[in-house]
Amino acid sequence: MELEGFNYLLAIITDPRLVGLIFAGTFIGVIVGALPGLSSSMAIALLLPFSIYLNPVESIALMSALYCAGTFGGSITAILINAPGAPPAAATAFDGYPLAQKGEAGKALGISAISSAFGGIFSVFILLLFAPLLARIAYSFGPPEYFALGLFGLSMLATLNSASPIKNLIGGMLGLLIATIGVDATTGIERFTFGITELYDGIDFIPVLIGLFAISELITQTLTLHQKKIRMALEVVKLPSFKEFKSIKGTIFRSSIIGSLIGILPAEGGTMAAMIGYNEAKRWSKNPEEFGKGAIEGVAGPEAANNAATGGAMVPTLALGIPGSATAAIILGGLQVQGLRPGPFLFEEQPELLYGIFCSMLIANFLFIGIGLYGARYLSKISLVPANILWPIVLCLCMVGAYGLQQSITDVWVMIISGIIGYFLKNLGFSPAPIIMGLVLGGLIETSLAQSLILFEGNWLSFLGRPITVLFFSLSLLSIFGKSIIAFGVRYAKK
Amino acid sequence: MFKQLILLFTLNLLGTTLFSQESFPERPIDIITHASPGGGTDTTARTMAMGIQLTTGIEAAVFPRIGGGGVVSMNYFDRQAHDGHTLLAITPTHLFAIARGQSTIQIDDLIGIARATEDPLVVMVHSSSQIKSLLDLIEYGYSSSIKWGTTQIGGVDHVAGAILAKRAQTQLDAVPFSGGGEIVTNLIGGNIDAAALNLTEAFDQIERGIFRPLAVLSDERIPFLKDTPTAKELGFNVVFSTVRGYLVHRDTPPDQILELQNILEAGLNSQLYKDYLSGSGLGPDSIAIGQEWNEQVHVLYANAREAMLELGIIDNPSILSQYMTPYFFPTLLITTIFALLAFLILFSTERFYKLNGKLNSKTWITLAILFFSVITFEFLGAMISMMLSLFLLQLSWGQRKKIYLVGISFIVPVLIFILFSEILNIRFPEPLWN
Repeated sequence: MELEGFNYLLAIITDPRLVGLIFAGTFIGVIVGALPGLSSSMAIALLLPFSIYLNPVESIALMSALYCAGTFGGSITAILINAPGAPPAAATAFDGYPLAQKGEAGKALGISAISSAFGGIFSVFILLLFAPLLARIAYSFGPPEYFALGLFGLSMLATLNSASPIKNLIGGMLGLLIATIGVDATTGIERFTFGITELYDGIDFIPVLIGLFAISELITQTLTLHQKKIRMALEVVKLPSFKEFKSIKGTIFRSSIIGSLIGILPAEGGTMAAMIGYNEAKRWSKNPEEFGKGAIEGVAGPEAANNAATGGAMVPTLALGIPGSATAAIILGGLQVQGLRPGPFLFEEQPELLYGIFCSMLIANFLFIGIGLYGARYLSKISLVPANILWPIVLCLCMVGAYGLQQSITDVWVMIISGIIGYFLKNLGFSPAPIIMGLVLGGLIETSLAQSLILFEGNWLSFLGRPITVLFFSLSLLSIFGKSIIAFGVRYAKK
Repeated sequence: MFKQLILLFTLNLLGTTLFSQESFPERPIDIITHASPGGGTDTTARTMAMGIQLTTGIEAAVFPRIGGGGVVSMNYFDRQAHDGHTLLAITPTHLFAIARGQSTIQIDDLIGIARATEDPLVVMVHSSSQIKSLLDLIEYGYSSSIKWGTTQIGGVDHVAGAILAKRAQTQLDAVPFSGGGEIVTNLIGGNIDAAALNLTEAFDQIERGIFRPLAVLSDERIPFLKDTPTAKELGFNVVFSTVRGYLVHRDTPPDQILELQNILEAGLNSQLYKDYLSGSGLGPDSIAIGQEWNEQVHVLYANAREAMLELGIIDNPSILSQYMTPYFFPTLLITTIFALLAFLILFSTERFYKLNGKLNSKTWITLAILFFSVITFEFLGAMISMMLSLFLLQLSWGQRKKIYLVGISFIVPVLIFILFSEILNIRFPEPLWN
């Protein structure tokens, strides 16, 4: 088996056409990932019809390279202009953009490239070694388990940033409330749509994200326009030092594990992995007060996690034929266009496809370290562009990004309005992070609660009869009260 | 030289006006879908479009109008010229929406051109389950309610389950998930008892003996499941399948309807599309052209309407969950927010309602430009809107160098347009006068 795998690997890296395609996929992926509103899943969907000119291995190599690189690409715009190119990069903006504002854009981009690649490579090996074993996790996650996982995610609100915990909670609740707009999944009743058909399916997450981050930052910029910012070009393009990498290796490793595990859960993608990766990075950090102000661990944590989630998402996809993420679903669709029927059978019968995915993801991850580090020197100069040129361009990108997603003007309004609301909230001391968290988790928490109650026939106590659920409930309690318990223990021990 | 050019241009113009009557289609055919890129409906339409282009050379483009369970796409379709250049992609969801009167379109406004896929619904349980037949399942429901996984409330698999339960007088609780993949996982994980899955969604699981098919919800038995009876045979006339097909408006000229049938037939019979079908686990009988499909649309509609009347969900699309009302969660949230705000006002020392940053005149101008740019985006088109907002924003933010003011306002929108519109085929709003 191992020798066979090695032979496939050799066949792939010596095939110039295939390597060329992987390179193209990586390059396109970084670009569409970086542009707000364009996602790798969309790019893959648009490439589908053209993939018939390729053989199955080539087509799957192109798509999986694009998938990996797209996840990394999102961090570039998150860092440089506070506009996450894709939802998984939202958490990267929390510390990436403050770093760029401090004139350390090159450092942030470098950290992001290395952490992303490490997370990606780590998860590809997880995929190769443990796919059949880990895929079983997907089956043990029913609605009650997802509800508990969602609550665990929410429990991070309390520790998310240094602003007042009450304001964080209010922000989180607001995010959850926005997520209830549209048809309720379990009853089919329209809520808060005010007769607007476009709101029937709910408010899309991406326009809100672009608005809360980029547009509110654009408005904030008007307050500092009169101040001249002098930045040294040399400082801006400086890449992170080896010492800095060493200091974040723990964070990268931890986030890679978190990301791989969360990626495996079908329907839970990189966004949640990045949020948890960020929060755990903060929890374990020696200087948690630096977070939100430009901590390099705050970039490494989410980036390693969201790229690890790409490999994780491939685990149920390949082992069970159940897509682990939206993009993985489209990659499976790509095989259908080739006349292959995706499913667990396929990968047992045609291992070269499996190795095609594995190798191209691996090569793509190595490639974007190169693209990332090399590009960082040039891209970081974007933070030197004067505000009155940069931000008008950002506005245009945001408009087309929000519109292009579903080709709906409602989304553009949603973006502008959430940008303005976001600006005032930020001004009042509310951070956008909890709102985003609430929005990401909202649908999951409410739907899985409703589903669980149907399954349990309304008996709330049944939640306690499921081990994974209990585990996540305890973790949530620990996450909220853990600090006070430790503090109490320390005080007790000193006596 | 100049004269020649003008002559050439005029001839060309004359040519197009003279011959346009005969050469249908004059421009690319739009296929309006309701689903986001990558899903089944989208991939089916894109593969067919590619097949059309490969076999006939005619260009067809997929144009998603997402939202409202297909209502957005139907209303958009209704506003287009009925000249045969716009096709509407439909699924059973669309028919339910028309039956409920949610769209501006009526069923009699539509004429079927071709069906691309027909994927029968199969009722199945886990193979370790004690339930061996549809009758077992019904009997199980007498003592405790059947937990029935569905893709969405009011969707075809939900209506199928509800109508089956109603006719068999058994109890059924619909547990909605967000897609077939999730239902498969939960059926394997033992969280739900049964579900009506599309054959394509559970092909592997049936083949491997993980799922036990109980009944097929089609008119006749299907070749792949020769030993599985239809619900009809067992005495329950419940016929539902997931179809995807294409329609035009009734006002389309008859020759063009015929021409469209030929074009779609060519696309659907291309090797590319056939490969796609076999990759989906479907046979060539999935394809139906013209009258056959047109009749099916109307039969399906009649069935859908009847089922919804029987279930009483024509006017009220909802089926209330008895365990959690739809406003439970929002009410909980709003109450918590107000409680927390009250706490903040009463006990917090800082005055949180005071703005930290002072708004200056530039802030207000910027806010105005933001609104201006969205309004113009819709009415003057994306290109002009972007140029205007780039210019105004730069100007109000103190850019005085004319070269930047004009240069950036011109180059950036053009570059964005080339990337999004030309390469990625995303259509932006055009000026109202177009």
